[in-house]
Amino acid sequence: MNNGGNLYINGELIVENTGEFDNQRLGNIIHLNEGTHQIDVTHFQIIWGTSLSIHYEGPGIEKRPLIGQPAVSEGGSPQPPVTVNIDSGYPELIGGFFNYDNEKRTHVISVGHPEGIHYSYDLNNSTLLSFWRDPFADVTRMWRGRGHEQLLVPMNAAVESGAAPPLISLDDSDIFTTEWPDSMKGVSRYRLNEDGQPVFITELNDITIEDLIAPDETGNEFIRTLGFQSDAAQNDKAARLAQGKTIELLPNDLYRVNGKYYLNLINVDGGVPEIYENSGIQMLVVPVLRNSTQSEIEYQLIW
Amino acid sequence: MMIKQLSNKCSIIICLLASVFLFQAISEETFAQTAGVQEQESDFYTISTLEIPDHIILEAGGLAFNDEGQLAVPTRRGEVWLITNPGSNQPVFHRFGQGLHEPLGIAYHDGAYFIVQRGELIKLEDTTGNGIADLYETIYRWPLTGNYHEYSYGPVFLPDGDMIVTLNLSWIGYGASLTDWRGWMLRISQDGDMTPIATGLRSPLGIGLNAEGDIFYTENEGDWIGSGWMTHLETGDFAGHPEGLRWADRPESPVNLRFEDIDDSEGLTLYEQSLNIPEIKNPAVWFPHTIMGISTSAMLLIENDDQFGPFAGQMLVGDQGHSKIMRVYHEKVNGEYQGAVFGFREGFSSGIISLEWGPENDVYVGMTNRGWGSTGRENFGIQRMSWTGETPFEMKKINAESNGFTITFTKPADHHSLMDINNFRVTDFTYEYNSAYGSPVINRQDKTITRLEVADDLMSVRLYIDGLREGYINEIRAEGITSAAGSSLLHPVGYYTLNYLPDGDRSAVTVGTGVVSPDEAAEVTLKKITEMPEDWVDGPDERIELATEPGLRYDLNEITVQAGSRLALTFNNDDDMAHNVVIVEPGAADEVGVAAMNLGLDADAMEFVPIMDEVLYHTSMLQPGQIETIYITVPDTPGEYQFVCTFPGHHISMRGILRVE
Repeated sequence: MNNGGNLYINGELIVENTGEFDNQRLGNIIHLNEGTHQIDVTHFQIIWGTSLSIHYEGPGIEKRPLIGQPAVSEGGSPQPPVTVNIDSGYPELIGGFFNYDNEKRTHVISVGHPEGIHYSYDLNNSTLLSFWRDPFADVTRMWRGRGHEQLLVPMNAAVESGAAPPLISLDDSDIFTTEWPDSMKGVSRYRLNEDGQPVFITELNDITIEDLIAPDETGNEFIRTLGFQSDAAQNDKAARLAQGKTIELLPNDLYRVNGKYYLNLINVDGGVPEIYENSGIQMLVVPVLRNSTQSEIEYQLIW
Repeated sequence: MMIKQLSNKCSIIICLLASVFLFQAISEETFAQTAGVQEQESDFYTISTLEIPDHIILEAGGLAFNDEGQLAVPTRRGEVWLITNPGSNQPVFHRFGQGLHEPLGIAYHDGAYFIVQRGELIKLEDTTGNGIADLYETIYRWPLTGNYHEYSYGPVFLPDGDMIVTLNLSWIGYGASLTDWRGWMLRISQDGDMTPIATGLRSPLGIGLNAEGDIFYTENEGDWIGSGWMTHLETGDFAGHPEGLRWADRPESPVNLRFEDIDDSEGLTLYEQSLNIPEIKNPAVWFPHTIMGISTSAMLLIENDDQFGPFAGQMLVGDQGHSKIMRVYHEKVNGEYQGAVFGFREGFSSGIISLEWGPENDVYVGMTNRGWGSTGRENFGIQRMSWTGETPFEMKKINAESNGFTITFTKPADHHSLMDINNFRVTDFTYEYNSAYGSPVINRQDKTITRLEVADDLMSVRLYIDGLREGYINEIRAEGITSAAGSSLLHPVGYYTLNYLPDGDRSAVTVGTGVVSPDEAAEVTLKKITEMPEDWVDGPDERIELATEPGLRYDLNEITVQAGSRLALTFNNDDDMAHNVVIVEPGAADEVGVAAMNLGLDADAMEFVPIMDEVLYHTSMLQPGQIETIYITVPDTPGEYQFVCTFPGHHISMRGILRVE
């Protein structure tokens, strides 16, 4: 923070930053029960630059920003940002580059929902990248002037999924790779369902994958539905639901991924979920297309 | 702070109004010098503006009509709008598609819309019939590095159902091909089979077929591209920018040239290189930079004489930066296309990106100037250009002869004016071919017209000219010619690209006997002082650095200095196009800017700075990445002096106040 300000949770002063030093970082540890809490932040400016960012961490939660963009950025912009509103009652789809794991992805669609939860999807390798809550997207770096970076930036803290293509062959030598083989071209087409939600369709040899990521009934979390179709039953194919440094099965049957978000398996279509591990990488898979030419996997993403 | 910004905006609007009046004043002055009645472009081709609802940012990347006469417009924000009754007073807009990444081209074919976005050629269909695209199918995807300059254009359909797509080079301080097929023209089938066709492209926004079905593209001035051009491309051709050759050794490549084969160290022109390198395809038509636009864009074939005047087989070519449309006539000589470009219609409201025929033989013009700025000041828009049915008095075409040119008019010309040899002037010139950004006009020669023959029907005149040179652009002026009915030529100048002289009798004098115009004619000006004066023993009183912002702006709107002080002004051109800084008297920026636009072929030699008392100091015309410091003795009289870029088309937005206190 530069220069200073206070952070309150439920009216209680948690952090007091007097602004004595430039870019002073201060923190505190408190216990929060499950539920909704009110956070208030004050900020004041004395001299030089202006900045403010807020991070949090906890048991099983890696340190991460509370809000996506710095609330106040260095120098400040004289012009208001260009943002995307979702006011039609249907999802808004925006094409644009997207930073994932500090790397620019170039063939990405970001989908904002009127329910207030949003995600980005990499068309090059049929992969869910990041998901986040309202507000949706800052497109200033794409739609102002030439838009030199061509970036869409989430306006709230985005959770990175551990991006990995959703189908593997267990017989392959390196099942942990997140690169598509050259023969796979990524999403070949997508259709919008009656709710305007895209269903991404990927064709790999004789297997077709349909991928729908849509808000659940409460509108608070996503349900991802992966459909697999094949000309013939397969004996080595599995759906890859998550990949990361840690995948933990919790007592409440949720899987925790990288300490960042949770998977709630709804339908595994008769397959048995398994966690594979190899040199520090873990992967959650469910076999598909065994004795069948169709499989459907469904799970909830909780964060 | 807020108040200051507001007052700046007001002053800009006032200046804009002033510049409009100046344009008119200068035009009328020119017209008064000619004998005939000077008609206006608007007497023949009218422009009307499509009203766009406030909430739609219709930065038109392309235009296509569907079978129902609805106009489909993909926007740079990735939407696709369908406009019902676009030619009526009550157009209806609805959003057909979304989620694309800066699409810059669309074609309607068999009930579907084919669109090129940054990373792929995609097909949009409405399978449920509710007016909204619900199926987005990738036809062919190409890699991107994430560089903003990797624009992609097209598609244009060929008669067999395949499509043509072109890929812009990246920009890393120079045009670079950082990933597959950047700088290439590709042919892609509807099944997604891709065949590279030709390379040497830099910024190939315009793609079009002529009446014979041959494929042309238009190019923007830049590194290796001395000036805009239009080139006929066939399989295996190389148009001029070497970067695309980085992929020429791939098995799919039909181009036999390699990157190492292009060497600019000997100072040869593109044409001279083509004599040794047969893969080089010379432009069919050069568009002299700043005279015939600055950023060549879309192409549109005039199919028949009922459409738009007696110009069947000719092409309309748009220009983004100058918001205007030019007309191109081309012919085949020695088996290759070459021809002439003429002015056609100025005054569009924004930067022209696309042209399309409407259902009633009018031309729809799709525009955006975001990031570049254009003479038309609107950020985006769609306009419609309609022919009144009256034919203007124009040079309909210019044909090369073995020892001269034949000019054909659209109407019978006045016999006396045609017989006067002094009514014609021919000058030829060319451009450098090297890695620098753009080129000055070089090797300029005035030509001697030895005699002329007037056709019996007074529709054409044959000029016999000494010493025409192959590989040169000929400026052909016919300012004094009037029609039999007494009108002056609407556009009295054409630029003919003479790659080949037809077979036949050569002029008796085959070397240039014309007056040689020195290319560096401009006297060394005392207004550009790049060495610190010796009597500044204590150095400058103040040093100020000025750079650029994207969108034709300086990074400072205002500089305050003390009257009579010594100022070292450093201009860092960190943009990707040429700019200068000209310090002018208070209120003179428009006048100086317009005068610079009218320098014509002399502009380069004069560094785009007109000889005027209102000009106080100036820098060189700096190429991208160049830095120069000039030493200025600030005037003793306080006031709001101005600094302005006089590169044609820039002065309207690229300027600031030099406040002398």
